[in-house]
This record gives sequence, structure tokens and C-alpha cells, in this order.
Amino acid sequence: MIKVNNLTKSFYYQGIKTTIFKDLSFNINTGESIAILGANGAGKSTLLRILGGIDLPDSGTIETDRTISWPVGLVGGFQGSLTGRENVTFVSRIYAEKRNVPEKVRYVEEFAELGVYFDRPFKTYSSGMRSRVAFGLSMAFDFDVYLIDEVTAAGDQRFREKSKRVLQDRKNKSDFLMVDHNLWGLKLHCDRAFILDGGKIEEFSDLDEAVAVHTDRLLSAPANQHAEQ
Amino acid sequence: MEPPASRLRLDREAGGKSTSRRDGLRRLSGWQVQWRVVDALVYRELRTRVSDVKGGFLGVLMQPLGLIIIWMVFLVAINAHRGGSLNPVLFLASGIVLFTVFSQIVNRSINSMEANEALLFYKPVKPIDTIIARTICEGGLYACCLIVICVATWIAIDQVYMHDIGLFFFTLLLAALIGFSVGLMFMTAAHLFPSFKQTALWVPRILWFLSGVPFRYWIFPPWTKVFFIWNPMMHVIELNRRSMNMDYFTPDANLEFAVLSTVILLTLSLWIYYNNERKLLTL
Repeated sequence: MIKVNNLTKSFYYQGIKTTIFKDLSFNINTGESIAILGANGAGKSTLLRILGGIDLPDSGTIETDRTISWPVGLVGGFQGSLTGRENVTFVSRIYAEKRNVPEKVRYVEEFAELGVYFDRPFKTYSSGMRSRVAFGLSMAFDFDVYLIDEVTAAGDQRFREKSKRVLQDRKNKSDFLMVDHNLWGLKLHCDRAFILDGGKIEEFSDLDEAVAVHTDRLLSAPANQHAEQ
Repeated sequence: MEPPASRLRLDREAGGKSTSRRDGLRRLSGWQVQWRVVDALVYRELRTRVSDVKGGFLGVLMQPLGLIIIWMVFLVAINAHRGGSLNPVLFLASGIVLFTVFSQIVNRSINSMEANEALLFYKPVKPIDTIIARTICEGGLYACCLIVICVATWIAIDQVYMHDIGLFFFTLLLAALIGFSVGLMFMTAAHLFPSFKQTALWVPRILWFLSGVPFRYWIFPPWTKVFFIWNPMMHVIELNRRSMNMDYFTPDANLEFAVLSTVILLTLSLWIYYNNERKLLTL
């Protein structure tokens, strides 16, 4: 179970405080995967970052007995001057037993299919190559809960198909918290949904209903509201 | 047996040091996770350095060695060393290496938050871990350099200068710990107050003179003594020189003062860091 109590998060920009969400409280039971819906800027990715421990809330607590991944597929955690292999080794030395590090590196190498490029500096990679390594690295470790942020939009068609298969396989033993504008992907993996809107969260037990409400709100919102978001 | 949820919540608040049960296969203590993180960061630091220079690890070792040799040639040329009873090469090598350990850690710590932003992507990695890893790398690397210079000098002059090997390595450790403490404080201050960065960069430059790196401070008029003896780095460097030659005259160097200063700096820096860690991760 993940229990979120009164989570509040705000950002300061040039001295002006913007509250992203305030006093969010919800529970996620073991065995259920959640789609997080909302317009751009609603705070979906921020919520995932806080759940993943990359960012901290202004106030509130997260109680859990489960292991939670970093946001899957994000390429932010790589050092450009190091090779793909060295970057993967670095992360593996943190998250895995030392004796299992070579196995993790081999998994990512085989998943990414970069050939000789796996031993070249990460900064020389194309965005597609980066996505392959980032996604493969996320899947190299067994977490109880995976935070998945727009991952199905990355890479070429073949990579997307491969990612879908791996996600489907991983779904059998782990739960997902997913943010994706590809609603089809959400329907495939998630059991219910949250809509983040105006700093508040609405819970839906019926995913189709949540998608319908979300789509309706997006289409009926004034154009300038989207621009602001 | 799994710890209760309340305990896990406390773990998260204490820095989120928890790892996968399925990959770590067991819950690790905070210290064990920090050990793993520092081990990984040291690996990354060395790999980054190796990728920046030719010649692998030897190239990494040659880089600071080259810097030290250039400094020594310059200081010998201007006759600045005045090492007294200690061989001038060892006198300069001791001062330059110990101070470089300190200054490298401090200088690299000032911009540490920006430089290591990508690392904080992984929950177990905390800002203090990057400074610990840097201290281990710089301390180890420059200790190797000092040993290489000492051995080369002993071979060249056909005489071994080593009076107290324990004190020799202990002073190296103190230099690294002082660098770590000041670096940790500067990293925190520079992130909370960005305008502090410019001031902070001047501190090691001024301390270079006040630590007696190229000369013995007591060759100056007695009234200048007050500018030197408050500085623990001066004591550490002078004690390192004495560890190589018991006849090396250094009237004010005091091991107790150096240790006490290091403990105070370390305590203060950790107190400042732990009271501001949350701000470092959210600002």
C-alpha cells in the first residue's frame, strides 16, 4: 500500500509562489495500477517525482512498504562524458548487489541493442538511443511499483513495440503509476485513474469514465487556459 | 520480517535510504546504502577522469603530478622554498600536495550541486555523498602523487626521509577532512546564496599563502605570526613535513590543535548540512 497524506507542493519563480497541488491525500492498494490524468502543467510529473523521491514536498508524508522506481525512461540521470556501459554500471552499483552488476549491465546492453555505441559517450547518442538505454536501465531492476512518465511515446516503432511487451511482462509482477497522453496505453495497463485538476485530485474506480471526463474537460477548456498551462 | 510502515515512513524522511527488496533482496541499513552510493560515485568520478585524459589510470595520476612538478620548478626557480633541514623537493611537495587536496575538494564542492544535478535523479544519492566521493578520490590520488614524489626523491638522493609514517598519513587524512568540512559548508552556502560563490572561490587562494605552502611562516617578522597560526592547514602541512624529518624545525605546529580544529569544522559542517539538506533538494 502507498498512503499519501496531505501532500502540498509549490514552486517559486522570481519570488512568485505557484502552488501545484495542496493537501493531496490518497491510497494505492497493492496489486492495482493507476493512470494519472490531467492537462499539461497540472502536476502529474511533479507528483511522480515526489513519489519517486527525486523531489520533496513542501509538507505531507508518503507511507509505504513498497519499493518505488525512479520515473521510467527519463534520461536525466545520465552523465554525458561516460559511456552507456559506465552509466549503467554506476546505477547498478547503487541498486544491485555487486555480484549482480555484470548481469544488469548485460541486460541493458541486450535490451538497448546499441552495438558498439554502448561503449561510446552518452552525449553522442541520438534521442532514440538515449531512450533505449534509459528504458532498459529502468527495467533491469525489479521494483514493486514503477513510475511511468510518457514512456510509450519515446523511440521508433520497433522500440515502442518492444517496450510495450516488456511493460506487459513486468505488469504481471509489479504495479504501475502511469502518466501518458496516449490513453490507449493507460487503458491497457491501469485499473483505475486519478484526475489532477486545479491542485486537487479526483479518484475514479472506472478508468473509462475517468478518460471520458478528462477528454471532455480538455476539449471544453478555453484555448488561453491551455496556453497558460 | 518487514519493518512496519511507520518505520519506513521515517526512513524516507531521514533521506529515503531504502532499496529494492527484490534486487537488494533485503532491506539495507542507511549506512549500507550510503556505502553503495559512495562506492558507485567513486567509480563514476574515476571513470570520468579516465575518459578525460589519455593513458588510463596512469594518465589520471600524471595530471596532478604534472601540476605539482610545474609548481615545484617555479618555486625552486624563485628560491621560495627555504625548507631548512628538509630536502627542498620534499618540503615543497608536502605543502603543495596537502594544500591541493584541500583546495581541490573545496573548489569542486562550490559548484557541486549544479555539476551533480543528474545524480540526484536517483533517490539514494544525496548531495553529501558527492562530496564524500570527491574527498576519497582527491585524497587518494594526491596521496599517491606524494608517495611517488617521495620515493623518486629518496632514490635520487639515496636517502630515505621518513621519521613518522603514521603522522605522515594522518596529516594527509586531516587535510582531506578539513577540505571535506569546508567543501560541505561552501556547497550548502553557495546553493542557498548563489552570490557567495565568487567570494568562496577566493578563500583557497588566500589560504594558500596563510598555510605556508611555499615557505616557512616563521621566517617573517614575529608580528605576522598571528595571520598563520590560527589556520589548521598550516599546522597540518608543517606536521607532515616534520613526519619526514624529525630535525625539521617548526615551533608552533600542534597536532592537538589540528585535530581539534578538524573535529569542530566537521561537526559544524555536518550540522549545517543536515539542517539544510531539504532545501538543497527542493530549491
